[in-house]
Amino acid sequence: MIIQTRDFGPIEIDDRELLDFQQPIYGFEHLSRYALLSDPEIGSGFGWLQSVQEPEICFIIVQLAAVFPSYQPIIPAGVRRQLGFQPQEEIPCWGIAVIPAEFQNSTVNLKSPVLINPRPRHAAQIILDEDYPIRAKLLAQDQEEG
Amino acid sequence: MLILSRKCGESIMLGEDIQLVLLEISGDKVKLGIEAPKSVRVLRGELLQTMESNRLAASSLVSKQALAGLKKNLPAPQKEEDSSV
Repeated sequence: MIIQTRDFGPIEIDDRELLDFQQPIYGFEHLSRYALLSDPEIGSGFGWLQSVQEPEICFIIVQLAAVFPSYQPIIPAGVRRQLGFQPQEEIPCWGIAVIPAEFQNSTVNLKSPVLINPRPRHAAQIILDEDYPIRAKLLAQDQEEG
Repeated sequence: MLILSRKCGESIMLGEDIQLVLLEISGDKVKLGIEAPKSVRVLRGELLQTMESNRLAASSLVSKQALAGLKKNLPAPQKEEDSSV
């Protein structure tokens, strides 16, 4: 099928590639189907979570393990089951990023990660019980010179 | 901000039909029971903040320049030292 995207124009994507959100993105409860896109120029680590239903809704998400190596939140067993993860399987956690034009001020939500299981293509945004910031700076202060 | 001290089992009324009961205290966690009419929306604070943050994320058009700049300034992914192939 061809989907309209916010940042890449129309894109052809296999229906089977689409993600089904078992627990929707908070505030966007009416949307459950997304395409996970990437931009070869930006590379892995960043993803575009593009709503299939509403082309103007698109989230930039960041692979959290790559940026925050110590980030290993406890995922409730019920969520694991719901998304089809095995009990010991490592769960890829993505964070929804807010990236202003002054990119030094970019933040990412560590409290409410987006979990994506690539095999049954199930996903969810959950809110962790653990203490994590909702607006964690993506760049450390001393790297701002660029 | 109004600050009240309560013991386990004691409650606070908000208006006439919303009751907060302090059910349990263990370590740094407090269990609250909330009795309120169905029309009252009860949300955890961080849920509301996540919703706001999500809306902000979805509504801000991200320039490719900003993204490229961000990517360039992020530390390269660290390889695990003891990763066995």
